[in-house]
Amino acid sequence: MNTSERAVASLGLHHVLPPYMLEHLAENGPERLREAARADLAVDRQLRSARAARPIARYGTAAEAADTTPNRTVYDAKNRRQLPGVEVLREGGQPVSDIAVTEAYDGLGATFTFWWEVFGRNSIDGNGLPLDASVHYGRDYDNAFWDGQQMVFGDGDGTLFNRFTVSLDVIGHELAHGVTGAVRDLVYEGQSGALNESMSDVFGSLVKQYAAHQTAEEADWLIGAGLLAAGVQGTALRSMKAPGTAYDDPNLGKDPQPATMTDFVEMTDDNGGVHVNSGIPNRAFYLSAIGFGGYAWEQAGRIWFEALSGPGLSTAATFTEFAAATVAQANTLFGPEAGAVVADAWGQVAVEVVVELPEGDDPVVDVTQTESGAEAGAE
Amino acid sequence: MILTLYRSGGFAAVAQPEVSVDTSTLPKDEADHVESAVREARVAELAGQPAAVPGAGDRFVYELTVHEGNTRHTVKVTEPFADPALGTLIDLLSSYS
Ligand SMILES: [Zn+2]
Repeated sequence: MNTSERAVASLGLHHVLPPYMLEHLAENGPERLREAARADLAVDRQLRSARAARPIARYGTAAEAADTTPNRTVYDAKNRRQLPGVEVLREGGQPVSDIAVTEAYDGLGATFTFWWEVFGRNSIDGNGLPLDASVHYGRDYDNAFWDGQQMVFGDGDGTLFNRFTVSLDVIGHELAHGVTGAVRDLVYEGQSGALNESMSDVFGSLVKQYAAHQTAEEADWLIGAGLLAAGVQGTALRSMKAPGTAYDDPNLGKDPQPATMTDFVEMTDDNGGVHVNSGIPNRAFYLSAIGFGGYAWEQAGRIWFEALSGPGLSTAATFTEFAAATVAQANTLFGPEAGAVVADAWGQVAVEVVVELPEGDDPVVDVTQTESGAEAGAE
Repeated sequence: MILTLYRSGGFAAVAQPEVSVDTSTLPKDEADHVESAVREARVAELAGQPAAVPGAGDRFVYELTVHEGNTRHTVKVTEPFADPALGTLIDLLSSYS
């Protein structure tokens, strides 16, 4: 389907009304509400199917939600591949001499603080979910990942990579996968997967900037600074400011990230290049943050998070759809000038944005769908 | 028995060049060790997993092929593994890179 669709913005009623009441409204409610209720029902079904896929293993209990301080546990996997390993540090415990344990514990603390102080979000799920991390996973293991329940960090092989707890933004990145899973579980494949990756780089970088009190102009916008082993030619693993320039090394190869949609890479590895094409939305975020100036989490970060969590975004969102959502949120939250800053940022990375500004009291957003099979179902 | 292992994905997304091991070229003890690791991991019984599992990120994807006689079995698996024997096999094969 290549036609432009006009979707009526939903009312957000699915947050407060059970589905049977929405169905009643959609059938028998006042005419003005019927269409919106139908849109809400579509969103509700989408959220339900996302929940059914269990993007996070569990949500915090009432007692956990009432506690707005972090609840961290760090485990030592002892160079094996079994999770979680042996518990070595629990919240408030005595400091340990193992630097990887300390970095993981402190990094989780800084990440928790960021989400709580900037977004009022109590942990990954907003319900105080305990934060678990395992360090020393595997042998010479060149990776960090989020398995859907916890963070996992390898020691690196020492030749190409150092230990993966070394950069705060890497810890922030992994935890952000948990947040994305809980908020809008962007399918980890192709463009929606690259958006999922970009969210983690964006919020991972913001965690680092917030901890260092850096403005957008002061920040280095690097992901994984300190991660490349001594002797590797490069400054970091990725650059949000200049994708494709982070490293160029005989052993590691060259940073493969494109900076604009023109250079989008079609590939099958890496779930369709989720860590490669994330360079495009990463740079759009950087350009927005620079366009606003000051602390990036105050406007750009808020816009990105609201666009991610807003009810209109599909879990299979394309760059174009996400761009439209960010421009709409910028308009709503900070006015049309902010919308123009964000639209210009996407324009600079050659991602098409199709947004109709709100008219009167009826928020109407135009979403142009360029791919079949990406229907949000709200019409 | 010819085994190949290809690793992609992960936070750094730097693919590991394909590792290939032909046990007929190895000393007998070593060949036995590799072949028993393949049996322990029950590779022949493994079904492929979907590449995109909800709610996770940055996990390595391993493509493992076992070629023995006329049979050839290829499976794509994503970390972490429920069975530790699979991790042991992957570490063992990676040591030939
Ligand atoms: Zn990631």
